[in-house]
Amino acid sequence: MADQAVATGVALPERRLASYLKSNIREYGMLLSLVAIMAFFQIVTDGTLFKPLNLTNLVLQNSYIVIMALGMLLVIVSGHIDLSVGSVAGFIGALAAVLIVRFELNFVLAMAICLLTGAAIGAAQGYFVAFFRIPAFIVTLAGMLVFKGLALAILQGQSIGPFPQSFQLLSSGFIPDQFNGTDLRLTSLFLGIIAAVALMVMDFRLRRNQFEHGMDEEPYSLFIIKNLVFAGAIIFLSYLLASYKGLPNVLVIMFVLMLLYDFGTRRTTIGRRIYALGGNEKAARLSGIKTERLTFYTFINMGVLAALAGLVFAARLNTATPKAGLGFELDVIAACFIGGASAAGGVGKVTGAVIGAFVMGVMNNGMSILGIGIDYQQVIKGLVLLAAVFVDVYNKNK
Amino acid sequence: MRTNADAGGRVRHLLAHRLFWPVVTLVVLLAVNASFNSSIWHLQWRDGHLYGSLVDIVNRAAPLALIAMGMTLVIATRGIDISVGAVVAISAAIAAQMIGGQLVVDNGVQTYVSRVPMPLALITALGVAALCGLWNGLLVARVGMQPIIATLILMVAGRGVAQLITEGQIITIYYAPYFFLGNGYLLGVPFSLWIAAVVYLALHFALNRTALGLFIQSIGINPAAARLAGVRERPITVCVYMFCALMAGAAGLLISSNVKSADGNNAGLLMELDAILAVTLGGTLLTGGRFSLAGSVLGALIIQTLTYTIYSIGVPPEVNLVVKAAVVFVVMLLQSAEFRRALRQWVVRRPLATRT
Amino acid sequence: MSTTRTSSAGSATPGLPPVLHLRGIGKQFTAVRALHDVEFRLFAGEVHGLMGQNGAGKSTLIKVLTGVFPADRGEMRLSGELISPANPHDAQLLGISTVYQEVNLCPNLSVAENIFAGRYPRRGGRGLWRIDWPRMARLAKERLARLNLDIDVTRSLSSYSVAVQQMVAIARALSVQARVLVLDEPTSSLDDDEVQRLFSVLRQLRSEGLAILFVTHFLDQVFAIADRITVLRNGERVGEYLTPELQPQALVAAMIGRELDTTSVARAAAATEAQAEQAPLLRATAVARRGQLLATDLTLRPAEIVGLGGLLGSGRTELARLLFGLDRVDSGALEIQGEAIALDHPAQAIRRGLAMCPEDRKFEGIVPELSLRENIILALQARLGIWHFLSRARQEEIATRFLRVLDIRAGDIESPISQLSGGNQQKALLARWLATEPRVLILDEPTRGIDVAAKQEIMNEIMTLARQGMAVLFISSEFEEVVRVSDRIAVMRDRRKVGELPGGSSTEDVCQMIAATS
Repeated sequence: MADQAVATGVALPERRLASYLKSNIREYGMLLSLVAIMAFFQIVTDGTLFKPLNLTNLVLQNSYIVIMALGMLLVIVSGHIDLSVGSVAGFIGALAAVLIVRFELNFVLAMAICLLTGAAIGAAQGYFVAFFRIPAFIVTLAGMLVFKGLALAILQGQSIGPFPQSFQLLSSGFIPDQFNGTDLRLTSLFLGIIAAVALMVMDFRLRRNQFEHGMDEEPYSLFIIKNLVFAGAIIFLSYLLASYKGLPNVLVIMFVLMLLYDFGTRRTTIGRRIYALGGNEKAARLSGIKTERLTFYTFINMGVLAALAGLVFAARLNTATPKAGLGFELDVIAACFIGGASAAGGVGKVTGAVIGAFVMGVMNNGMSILGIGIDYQQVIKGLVLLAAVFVDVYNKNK
Repeated sequence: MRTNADAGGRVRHLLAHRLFWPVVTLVVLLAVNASFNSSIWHLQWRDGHLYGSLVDIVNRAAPLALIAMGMTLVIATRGIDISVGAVVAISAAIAAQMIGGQLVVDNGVQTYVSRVPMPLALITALGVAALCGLWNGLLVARVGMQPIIATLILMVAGRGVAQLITEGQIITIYYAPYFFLGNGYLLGVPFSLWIAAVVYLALHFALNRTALGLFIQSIGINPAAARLAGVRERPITVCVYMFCALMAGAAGLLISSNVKSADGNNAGLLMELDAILAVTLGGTLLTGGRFSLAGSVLGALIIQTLTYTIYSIGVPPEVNLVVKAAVVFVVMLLQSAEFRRALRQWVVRRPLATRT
Repeated sequence: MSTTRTSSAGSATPGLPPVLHLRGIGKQFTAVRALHDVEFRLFAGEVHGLMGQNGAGKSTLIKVLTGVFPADRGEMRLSGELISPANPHDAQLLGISTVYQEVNLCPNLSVAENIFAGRYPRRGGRGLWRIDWPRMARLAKERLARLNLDIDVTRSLSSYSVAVQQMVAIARALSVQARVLVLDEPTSSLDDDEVQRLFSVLRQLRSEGLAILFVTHFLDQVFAIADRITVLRNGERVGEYLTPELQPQALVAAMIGRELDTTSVARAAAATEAQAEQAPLLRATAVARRGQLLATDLTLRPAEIVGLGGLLGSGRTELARLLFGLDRVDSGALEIQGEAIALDHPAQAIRRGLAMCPEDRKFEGIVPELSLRENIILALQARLGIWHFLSRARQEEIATRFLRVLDIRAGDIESPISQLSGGNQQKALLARWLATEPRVLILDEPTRGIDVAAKQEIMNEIMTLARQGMAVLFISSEFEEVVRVSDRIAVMRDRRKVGELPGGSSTEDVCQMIAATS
């Protein structure tokens, strides 16, 4: 019977492999889809996709979506939604421009102020959602309007820029090369190799830990293959990036945030509490979890990340425009759903959201290279979102 | 004594009437307007039709009123449709594309002709809009998606579809008969007002002279009880979404006719917000159930008047957005039970504090 | 009046005070007196069954015990100390752990996480925020091992059957250093093997000295596992009994009331022989639905009242829902007026002349904000369709007629139905269905929560309707009512029909049929 003990190490290797894959199919499926899409576009664009220049652009173009997806995932997992992130990002970008360019404030101080403002915005929205139980989509819809307007107001309808060099480094800067390589930015390559090795080591330790405690772990063959593939991919990508200008700063930021949030959602008490809240609020409350406060915190977190994304975006464009942030929220929400988050809450992984963001990014990038119009891209985006949610609903109703 | 009680009862009855607050809001807005711009009340008869600021407001409010009416029914069934803006763009794009901008010399006079007969273009645009609604309705009623997600999909993809139809350009429409929709006058009154009025009357008839209104309300208030009583909740839900999209399509025609162009990117932008706001202002609760069609129409008028007021004060357009958001907000707060409770506690506590 | 026999059963040491002792508990909800002077004792090392019909006060007592709300009167002592938990979390901290009927866990989380939600084992000691997953998994496995369950605790809860989920809920309840374990109808979604497994776990926990409170409807289960049984009725304690000394009939009698009627009641105007010749209006053959009803037959003929007797949880409502098309039949056949049909939607049943007054009028009956008039004509209108709209005059006429016939006390027909009392709401619902002039009327607990006079009126109306040719399926937990008006009584127990009794049987006959072990 399926409920009885799952044998560890006693069953035949092939059967274990099959059953393990089946129970983790969503995760691997997502990853495989991303790989498939990348391969597809690589072929169709005659190899342009993986050209170092293009790869760098791809990373830069999707950075703000990934950053915001991390926050949106927590909001969706807790059972809510945030439609204001695009406007908030635009507003913060405008605020940064005004502070740095017009008032010539030190850019570090200005960034700090911007992040704090983002937190305040998130707190305000979160307060109404969590404690007054006003539906999140109304509160954040109102927020979307307010901040769109405020952005227009403080920009007075114009674009403000350019930013000082130091600020631009946030988006357009690259890891400096210590080794003065001519064609290859060796520091970046080394960093990539170190990252790959570190991930492998962590995975090994995790596996050993699981084994010691008698938990079901991945079949050995799969484990080895997975690690080799990942390590190889990371090193390969680092190499490609290193042959252009090196690792973009924003990629490092993204990577660090990803690790942080992945760790937070999988291994900290506060992260798991959010999942409990999203799965069954009543049960969570009965377990002593302070559900309102938790919701409040997720919105503050979203606000900070939206602010960060706004800064990154403004730094990349080197100006703050009134149109900044238009439509971001849809991309971010779509990324989370494509990555496996459930509209009902309680389900969703950080890695999934990031993969979802990259699926969208690669599609955008690939389709642009092919010269497919933005409009078709919108349609395809919608269809992909439909497919992702459809699968989720279908599984739920089965 | 009796007259006092009578008067008190009548006043209370008036206050309790659902449309009381919307009407008051509208009157207050108009009064505010009139206080620094007395010409707002000016109505003239010029060129064979009514002319004045009020006429403008009504003309601009008509498309929003149509969408608000459609949205009212969707919200009454406990749903929401955030794709209406995209449908506006799609319908405008189809009509514009089918009509085109061909110039023809006819007896020495240059006239613009339509690529296809105008009625065909109009019907196609409306038909496609209805299909969009069918799509939404099926996702919600048959597949079981949450309405906000289901309509989010069309919201994302729809703009792309609209842009595809217009091939990324802003199509300028030159065909004169088309302008009649958004700019024409019938018996001195804007044609768009006629359309909105006809739709309102037809809807009023359909909701009150057939069982449709009763069924929609039961589905929104208690879907389980409605089902047990034999109400076919699925087909009705699909129809409601179709109607909402149809209204968005009609609004798209009016808007594009008014500005004489179809912009796939900007047409209908943020109209879903305005529509939801209009419905909420009119007294319909977002939780579904009892609804007020007249309230939603009033809500549309309020929003349009609000926009007009802000412009005439000379406040920059971005504040318009902020004010709108603030109004939504206050309305939602007042509808929130927790907030009312907190407010009551706060109000009740203060007098006690001053007494000690 | 209550009887108490002190126990020396189980492993409870005689003379030792009870772990949990409630005394003089009273609870009032505006108009309803839910509990009155209830005493309840729970000893360590015993399984104590709490029995009672709906409205008896079981759930209220449990809620008082677990801190959902406080009692108005009386005291609660845990190991001699006075307690009054302010919320369920409080009760948990005191050592009273509850496993609810619906698994109240998070389906999206893993088994281990559910067991430790909110109390995660942390890396490096308390106060830090890093979860120690391996330790959590190990501890979870240990807890489950205590219940003889060995499963992969890292898989999500939803990937396991309900039975396993129940076990996980119990493991969670136990992991909080519980002294008292409250199980609120834990077996309603379990099949026989799973129930046996649960019982062996309970016996083991009992031998370890845990005090277990077990609430259930199933008679054979309570006799199988409980050491003592407390019966509540109408908010009062009828008695506390030692299981070996209690006869099943006596238990049933205590639950439904002491007025056992041994005299037969002949139903007036009984053309019972002629009835058997008429073609059945509705015939269900071996209809079943997984997890809700086992294969059951039922036939309804014109001008007859068939009573569906049984205790709560016996499957009566489930059967009614299947007959009306609210739920889909998994196996078996349904024939309405000779036409074989598979029902997807109640509208199909209504079109063929069926009508049903649901058990839960709040959730499936009234449409709160609509007026009395609108509620009354709703089903009729639904059957007529959208276009054939009843004119306002016609609606008012129908509503006023039923207002008079059923004596519905309401301001006027335009008042929102939510303002009416429970009894009048029930009458309004009855009016709704009578307005459709059905051939078959299914009434699920139509007299629940209604005063005596109104009950009489409704029952008279039902009998008149049957005389005029309607077939009525009458479901009620009040056996006197059922035996008084029915031409035939189908007796149900533990989700299937156990037999049929002819009209004129007594309540004792019904009790016997229920209590008989097959």
